[in-house]
Amino acid sequence: MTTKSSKKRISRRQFTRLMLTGAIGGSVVVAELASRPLGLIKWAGISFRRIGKGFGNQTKVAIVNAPSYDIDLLTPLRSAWELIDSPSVVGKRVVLKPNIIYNVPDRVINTNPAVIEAAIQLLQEKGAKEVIVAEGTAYQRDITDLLYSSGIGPMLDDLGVRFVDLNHDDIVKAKNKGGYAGREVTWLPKTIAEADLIVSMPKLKTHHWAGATLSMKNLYGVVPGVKYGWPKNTLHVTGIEPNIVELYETIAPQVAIVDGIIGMEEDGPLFGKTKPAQVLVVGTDLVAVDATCARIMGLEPIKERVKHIWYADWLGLGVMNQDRIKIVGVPISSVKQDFELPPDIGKELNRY
Amino acid sequence: MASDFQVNLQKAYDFLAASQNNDGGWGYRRGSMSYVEPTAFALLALFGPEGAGGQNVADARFQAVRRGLAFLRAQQHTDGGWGVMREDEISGWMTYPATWMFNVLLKIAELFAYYGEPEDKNIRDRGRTWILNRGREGGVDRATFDQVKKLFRIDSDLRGWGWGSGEAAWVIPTSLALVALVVEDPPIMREDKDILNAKDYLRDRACPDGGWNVGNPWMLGKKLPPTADATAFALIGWRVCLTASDFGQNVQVVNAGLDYLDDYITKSNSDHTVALCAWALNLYREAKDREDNRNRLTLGLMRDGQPQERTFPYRGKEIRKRTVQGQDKTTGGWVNSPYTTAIAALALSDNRYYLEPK
Repeated sequence: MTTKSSKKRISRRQFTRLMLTGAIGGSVVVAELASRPLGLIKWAGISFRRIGKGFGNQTKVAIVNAPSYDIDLLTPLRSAWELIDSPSVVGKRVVLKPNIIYNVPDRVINTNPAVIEAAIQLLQEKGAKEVIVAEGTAYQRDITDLLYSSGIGPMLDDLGVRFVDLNHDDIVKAKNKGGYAGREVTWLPKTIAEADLIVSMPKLKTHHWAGATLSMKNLYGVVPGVKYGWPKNTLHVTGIEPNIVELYETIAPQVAIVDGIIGMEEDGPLFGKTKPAQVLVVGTDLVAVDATCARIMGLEPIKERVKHIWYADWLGLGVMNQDRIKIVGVPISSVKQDFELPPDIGKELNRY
Repeated sequence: MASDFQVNLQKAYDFLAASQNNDGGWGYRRGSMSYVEPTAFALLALFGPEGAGGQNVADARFQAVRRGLAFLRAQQHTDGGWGVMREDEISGWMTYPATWMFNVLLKIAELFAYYGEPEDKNIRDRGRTWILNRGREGGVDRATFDQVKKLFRIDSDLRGWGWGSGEAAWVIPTSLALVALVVEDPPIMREDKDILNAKDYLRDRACPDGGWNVGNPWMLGKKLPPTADATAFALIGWRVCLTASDFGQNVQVVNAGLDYLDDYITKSNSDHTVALCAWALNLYREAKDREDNRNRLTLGLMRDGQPQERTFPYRGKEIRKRTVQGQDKTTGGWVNSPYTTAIAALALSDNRYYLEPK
């Protein structure tokens, strides 16, 4: 008597299905691992965002000539504002975030007060409900003396415009939108969290760690020192580039106005040499603005040089590609400079 | 003159009692969110024997201290540290001033009799443990040591304290942690190896021309200038741990820091910085200099009894402003800030109960 085997034999179709399922599952696992720390879902979202950017209109960046701080700067700034697709500020509470870091003798480090004044006048003229100037400086807890030595304090006193020290403001927890820097949340000053519109106002400078410090890197000054300390070192040691793009995506400043009238070359952001570029650069896509500024400095924003611009572009947060940027005002070629590059840290290590 | 400052001091205490938030804490500005640091400093100031720490304490001050202490007791995390404010769940540098304040409360019998609770010793002990185990900078590997030595000319084997757990050390948190630890038992703690190491850290981080900044005296071969706030906190830190054996290099860096602040206080346009400088300087200087600093602090920019303004050229204009205003005659505070007012009150008192509590 023969007994039928109790073992079920797998059919060819079932085997094929099983193999396919395994292959798909395995691919998903491999893709998930390969896309860390972003993760597959985030990576897919970024891919769609990048594709979307590729089909969109060119982003406008305005470059206008501004030969010195002593001239009327409101006129060229107004012209730049009207050349781009600028947002309405009517009835809005606008926060201007200049770059105010240090007072080092004979160094031109901070955003010039004349540019800030022109921006205040422009926004008031365009109907802003309130214009606030705010900074959370990195190297000292009390910013008051720096405000006066930079000329910004007297200018604000003269105009009657409020200044907020972001380092000691009330703070709120904001969920990070990107997840690039390994933190789920970033504490932000209430003044920033509640602003209707944020304008990043950096100075055109090279930077010895980041290649260049422009409108996105300027956002380091937004995080409160009271939580992150001085000089906000945790944002450097956990990765400069991931932190810059994380802050850009989470804070979402809508406009950049770059003080490129006198910039800084070589050992920026503090000890570099003065370099006049005689421009103001304005735009709503901060990646495009920073890429344009880098090109004005003679610094192509490639991965090896100004990685955070490349990274922000790769993440689809803006556009870096020159073909996707419509320069309005004067062309880059007419204002392009050859900024001396920041020191190579590797070479510096060998020098000392 | 001393009686004049006593009046200033009493007004400052009144401002502190009046500017307390409903939750028992104090903010950096009156009416702003309560933070642990300004709360600890407000309490340290109010602990003064002429404030809420002596006899016949006014009820408003008495209640303010009780509520302030309740606020801090409630904010301590299970790991023994404090965040910066109520919703901050991660312990950090504000553990240093909070622990400092509890040490003073525990050491002064009269204060403890008024305001202490049985759990305060445990709170302090857990705070101290956090500072020693979590707040202190970890060691670095040789490659990092060499890189940092070349780029910043600092010795990474000398370990101070950071703003957050596991982070690099900086001058201000190191100074605050030093005070928090030493005030518990100054004669013993001054000889503790961690404290001695932290003193070496502060000496190593001193700027070559005097004073301190965040903690980078050099950056890629260039001198990074000192700042008043870091210098003031460093000098307050040194004050609690200087001993007879410090003559030599340590006293030299302290003196250079004092010289820097002596000059800076006359130029500053900030009431807060003037308060910090006056506090740090007055821990070292003779009576006449202390009086000058206190006049500057309370009266602001003044000459021959008349308020003065400073002139700032800006785009062809001359902008005039009385930048340092001194104590507000109406409220008794400085720049409407409980934090600045607490520091000013500490600068106005010659009693050093908060550094040598007995």
